Amino acid sequence: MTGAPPSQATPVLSVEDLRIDFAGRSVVQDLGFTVNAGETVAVVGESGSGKSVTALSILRLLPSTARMTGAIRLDGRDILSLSESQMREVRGGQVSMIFQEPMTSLNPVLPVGFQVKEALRYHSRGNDRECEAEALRLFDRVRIPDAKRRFNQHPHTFSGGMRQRVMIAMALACRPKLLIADEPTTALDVTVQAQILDLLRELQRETGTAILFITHDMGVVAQISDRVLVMRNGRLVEDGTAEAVFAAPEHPYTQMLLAAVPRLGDMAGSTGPRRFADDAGDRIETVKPQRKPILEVRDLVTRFPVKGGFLSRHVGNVHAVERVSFTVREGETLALVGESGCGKSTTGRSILRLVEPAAGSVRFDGQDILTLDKKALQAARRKIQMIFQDPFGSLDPRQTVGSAIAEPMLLHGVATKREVREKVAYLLHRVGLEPGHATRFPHEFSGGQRQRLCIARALALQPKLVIADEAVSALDVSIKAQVIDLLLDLQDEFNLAYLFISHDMAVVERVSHRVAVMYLGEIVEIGPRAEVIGNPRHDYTRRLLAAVPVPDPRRRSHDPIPPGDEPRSPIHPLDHVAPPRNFVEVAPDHFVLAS
Amino acid sequence: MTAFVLKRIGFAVITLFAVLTLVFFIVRVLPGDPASVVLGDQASAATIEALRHKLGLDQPLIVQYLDFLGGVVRGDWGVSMATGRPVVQEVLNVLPYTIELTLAALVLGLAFGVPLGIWAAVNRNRIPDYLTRIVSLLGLSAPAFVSAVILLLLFAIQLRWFPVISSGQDTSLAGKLRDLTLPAVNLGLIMAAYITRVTRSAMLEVMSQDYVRTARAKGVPRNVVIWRHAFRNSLIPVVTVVGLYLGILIGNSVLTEIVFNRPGLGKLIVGALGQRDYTMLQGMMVIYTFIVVVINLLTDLVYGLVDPRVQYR
Amino acid sequence: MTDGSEKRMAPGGFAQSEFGAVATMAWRAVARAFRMNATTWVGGLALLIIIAAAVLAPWLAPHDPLEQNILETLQSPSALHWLGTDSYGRDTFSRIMYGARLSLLIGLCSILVAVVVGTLIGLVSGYFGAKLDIVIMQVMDVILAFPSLILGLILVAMLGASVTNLILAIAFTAVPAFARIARAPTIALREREFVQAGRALGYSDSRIMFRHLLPNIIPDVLVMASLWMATAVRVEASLAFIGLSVAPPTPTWGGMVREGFENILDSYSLALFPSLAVLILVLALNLIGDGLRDAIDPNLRTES
Repeated sequence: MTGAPPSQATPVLSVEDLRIDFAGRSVVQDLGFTVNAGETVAVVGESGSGKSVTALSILRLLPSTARMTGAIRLDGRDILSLSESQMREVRGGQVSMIFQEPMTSLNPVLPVGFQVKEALRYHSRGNDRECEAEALRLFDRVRIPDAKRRFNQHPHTFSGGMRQRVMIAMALACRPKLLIADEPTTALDVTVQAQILDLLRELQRETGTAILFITHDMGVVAQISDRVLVMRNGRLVEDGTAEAVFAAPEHPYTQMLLAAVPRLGDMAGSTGPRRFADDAGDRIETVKPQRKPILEVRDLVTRFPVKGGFLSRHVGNVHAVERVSFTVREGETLALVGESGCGKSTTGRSILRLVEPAAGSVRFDGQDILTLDKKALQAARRKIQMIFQDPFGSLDPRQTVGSAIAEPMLLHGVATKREVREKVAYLLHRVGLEPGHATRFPHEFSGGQRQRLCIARALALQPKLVIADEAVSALDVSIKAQVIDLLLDLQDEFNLAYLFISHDMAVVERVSHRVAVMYLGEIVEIGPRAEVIGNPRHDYTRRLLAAVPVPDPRRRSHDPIPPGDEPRSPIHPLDHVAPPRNFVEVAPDHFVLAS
Repeated sequence: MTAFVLKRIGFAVITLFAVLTLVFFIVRVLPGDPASVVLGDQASAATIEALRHKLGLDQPLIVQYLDFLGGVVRGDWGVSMATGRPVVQEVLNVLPYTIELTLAALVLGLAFGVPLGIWAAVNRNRIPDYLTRIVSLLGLSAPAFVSAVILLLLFAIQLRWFPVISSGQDTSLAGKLRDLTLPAVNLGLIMAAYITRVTRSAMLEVMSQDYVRTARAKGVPRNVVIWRHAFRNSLIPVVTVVGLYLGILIGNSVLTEIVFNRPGLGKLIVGALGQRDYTMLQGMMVIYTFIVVVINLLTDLVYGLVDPRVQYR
Repeated sequence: MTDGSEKRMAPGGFAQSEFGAVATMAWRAVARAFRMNATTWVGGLALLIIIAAAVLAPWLAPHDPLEQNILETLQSPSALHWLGTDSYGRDTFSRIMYGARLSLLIGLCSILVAVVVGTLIGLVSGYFGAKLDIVIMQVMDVILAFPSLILGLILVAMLGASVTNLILAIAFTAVPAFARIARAPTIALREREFVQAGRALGYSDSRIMFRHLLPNIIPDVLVMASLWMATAVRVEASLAFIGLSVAPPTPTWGGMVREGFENILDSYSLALFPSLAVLILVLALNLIGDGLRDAIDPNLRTES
């Protein structure tokens, strides 16, 4: 099978006139496309586009309330007409699937090796011993280090990236004709994502499996796909080769989508942030070098205790934030970037003492926040506001949004009861919502609107500094661009300083004046944005930048990425003394941790 | 694994000590002097004082506490005020009956409850589900004495399958079984009702997890998905809850023992209540504390067996 | 939803009172439970009938519950005595009506006490966490592991049987359940970003706890309250059956079953009917509790 030229005569998968309804509500309509042998087809779309439902429908894994009409042909056979036991042969045998959440997709009470072996056993690929040997081979093929030993361990001992490798081994076990990958790298860090994409590409070359790759990330699409299908509101709006779609998108929606994607390197040659709306020209600088620093963080240390051993003694510490120092000036955006567990969010929370730092100083507006008592701290928090990642979690579900925005103003005496209604209306208007929305509850808003509400609530107290913790990460591409533009407008208007915490290098490049890169709790590189991104000096910064998928199929990275695991949080024994660290100024204002 | 077991045992000992302390002080802090409760309203001040002295209640609290703890450790729980025999001996005499009854009920409860719960969950919102839910709700709504009285009316008085009042002296296996059946069925049905409900909801929860979808996506047959992938995971909450329900079972055994006139801790404690046997009541509290702590320990250990994540903590 | 929310707005400002928010949440969960489930209606109707019987007993009961008649002892149901008579010739039906008063009173009051104390403990313990939490919850767990019947029995035996003592003893056994049910969502919500956001906005701890967390945990507490009221009624009846309740001749259901049980060879009715009364009340409360649980279960919500 391998090595045979892909036959164009019968596609592996052909979807015709597919329509899917849930309780009378249509989620997919008039959908038709084909996938040929050995081909990678990406399905792109924002939330609610029906892309994941489509993926599940091919294996008939949708809940029983779903009604499907049309045809899904696998090698010419319509799977919608198969019996449940015939379907079982198809699942895992001819079509297999990888899911988004590696942390929950493996059974926690069964050893990982067994779970891979199981796929082989139920498709009659030999007796128990042969299956076990084959599963072990698969572990090696997906490059799980120390495969023999790890074979009999349980999923909780594996990291996210390793679990996704196990999922891939399981999915490819029976050499399926088609592999459906539903956002397989979305939950992973960017360097791990690069490794997994690499692995998928390599395995596809060896086996000739066709891949249907569901994703929302245009960068990933450009890196992996031969053809691209764009979906919106349950319909297919564009179908073409990757080169054609990226070079000359036909549908206005695709054009808008591509325009809203920040591309790493777009901003080369400029120093400040730029709105998506004025991509034509540079934005006026909001920060002047002579502006005074508003936030000065010196040698900040935050640790979390690790309990272990008999009677849960305190045996060590997670050094979440280790001697972190930086300055944010009035009206300036400092981006704090890094992968999960690097301590960037903890740094943000330590500044407001939402977690208590162990040492260091945080000077804001002349006061050291770390020495304030409870009352003074509550007052100081007024001038520093925070916006969080999850727009569904950061509003009290039982409170009207008007009340949520009014509450801090009334509490801190920024507005009287008499004027508060008017102020709420103004703030809602300012973030692009209707004043009439004040009486609604958070669940009546979309994700982007909720993030606007959080911004309005943060602005209510007229802060000088806003800490935005992954504030746009959970938003769809087009919404993300709008919210970023809003943040930049507000910065201009109110002379706000932002501490912009993010894992997304392309977004960071778009919004920031300066960038600090964090790794294992420490800042490894800090400097002007154009310098750090254009001329990275630290090894880790370079690795991070190289791993970012570029949304351009002509610029695919071909260098194989060495297999490795994502960095864990740095855990040290109690008596650990961190080695002294020195920073080298490699260019004006650009510092790199000396190794 | 050994470290895990040792740790849990160590924890159980600490809990035991803490609860005994708690029990001691609750009893002493409660309003009402034990001596006057024992002797009733009519007793003279002198008799009350004499009893207080006899029970050691005139000693400082800390001395009483140390005496109490020392006694518990040495196995000297005092002498029953009603029978004059050592409390420990009285308790140990009837303990096997209660354990026998509880274990029989637990086995019955698991044998019926687990399959019914799974059956209901995999047929969610269909007739088997509705049926099981109604029956189990009825089962856990019935106080043990109500179901016991109904069983007695039905099987002993109407159908005459079992004696209304058993002699309790028949030591043959058949006789023992005959004495055990109705009480065990009574407790077992209640236990089964609880286990059915928790198994059902645990299975429903697990069936919606990502890894069950993964198992289906790799073509594992439905019954294997249910038993190997879903049921093994649903055991984790079921074990915890069964541990808690064992407490309810012990409580209900008191009522069952009264209705079916069966020897056991329940009859002992009610007897002690009627005779205002203060030392016996205190001894009963100690033994129930022991039982509760041992059940907790066993639950923890079984939990470690069904959840691989536990041993690594 | 959109139109309805207009009406809930307090005039003149956006701030609802703590009590307002809590009451709104409770009311919505109840309304939803009745909308969703036919079985909730069955439970609600049964509970209503029992409450009516208890309240209206002096007017509706066919006989005086304390009136003895040595000529009519241990009778089977008849036109005169619908559910028969007891060993003193007292009318069982009338005694069941009056007995409902004590069951409802003790069930309701003990749960009210337990809800207030338990929720407060759970909220504070969960919110502040750390060592305080570990100690409090360890104590709660041990009390919870103790069979509530035996704990109640020991407490009543030590305190002496009276209505107040019964209420306190039963409340004591139920407090840990409410502490647990209030603590779990508190811990989950404490990490949620809206609570972090509240702290970042400079809200005080008590404001976050009572204004933002409490309304969010009220639905869970409500479910627990109806389920534990069933347990409280069961424990009260069981204690009365053992002989630990208010002194005779005041009718209690458990005491009536005890009396019927002692005369079981002579009359089935005296044991059976009060038993059924307990069963129906407990079942009704459980049905309502189940309906509420379904109404607040987020998994079920997305499905319907």
